[in-house]
Amino acid sequence: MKKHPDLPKNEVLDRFETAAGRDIPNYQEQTVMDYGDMISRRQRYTRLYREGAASERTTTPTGIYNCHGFVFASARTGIDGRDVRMILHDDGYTRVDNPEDTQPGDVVLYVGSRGDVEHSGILVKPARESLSSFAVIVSKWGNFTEWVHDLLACPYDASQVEYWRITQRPRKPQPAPCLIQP
Amino acid sequence: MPDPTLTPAQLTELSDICIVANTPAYLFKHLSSNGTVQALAHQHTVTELLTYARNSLLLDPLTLDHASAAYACLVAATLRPFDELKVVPEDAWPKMRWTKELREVARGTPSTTSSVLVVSGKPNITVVNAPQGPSGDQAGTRIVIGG
Repeated sequence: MKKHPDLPKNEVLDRFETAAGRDIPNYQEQTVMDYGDMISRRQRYTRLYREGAASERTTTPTGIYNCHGFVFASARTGIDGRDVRMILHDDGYTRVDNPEDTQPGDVVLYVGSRGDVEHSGILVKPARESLSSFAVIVSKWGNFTEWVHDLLACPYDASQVEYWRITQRPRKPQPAPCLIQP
Repeated sequence: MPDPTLTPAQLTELSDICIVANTPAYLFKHLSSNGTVQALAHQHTVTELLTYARNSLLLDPLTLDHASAAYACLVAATLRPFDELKVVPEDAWPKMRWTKELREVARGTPSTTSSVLVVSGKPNITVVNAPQGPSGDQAGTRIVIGG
């Protein structure tokens, strides 16, 4: 562990890499939420996303990891959404184009209108097996808590969702046949 | 309260956005369309907003409300006219995790630290834009065949 170079209140893991050995920038954020605030926020979310469609899996908010850190770093640290595509590539994920072909354990990406990976989670139950007819996801909501929720029952834009699964061996570094300077 | 112009209800509204944000683009999209942030941008100069943001960050430990107020002021500052923004010195911007990225999103030029493009129909060809190569080699765009 070391202090974040620009933000000394935050810490980063010294070494965190993709399966192909590329560095994954990461951070653990330290902010404080008071207890009353936490309770009222939880009640608000539960009302907002309907009772039963979203339920909290953990009860203590933490900035140590975010949604991408939950999915790709075993909840040890936070990962920037901009690095998710690199991880999918290096770790050997393949996109599951048809939601009918999804399986529990697949990675679910919520892609924002600017193309950013706004949110990620892990598929618990495909839509075809769900009583609500929506896929059921487990995910971490930013610096708040982990939730089990229907695909739409969360604060993220579900208009563009992608499913990914590891199907290949991790892509090892290869000598680049050509290099175009940026 | 980090900023006397923000009520507890407004801070709750702002922190509801900030606490679930996983990306700067998400934060910018939701804060820039928020009425409180738009009012801040309308009523204050860039200098005032950045001062509010920096002051909000002085608290230790930093609370969610203070961090949210700082982000709200930062995004409000980016909504101010370009003429006003272009004369702001770099060190006037508050040091927050997403300061640089929010400014880029506001300018419509989100940065990437890395990206991968898989060429359609050619699964063995990928185009990788990396900050640094896997073995510490030079940053740049690589076309990898058979990767």
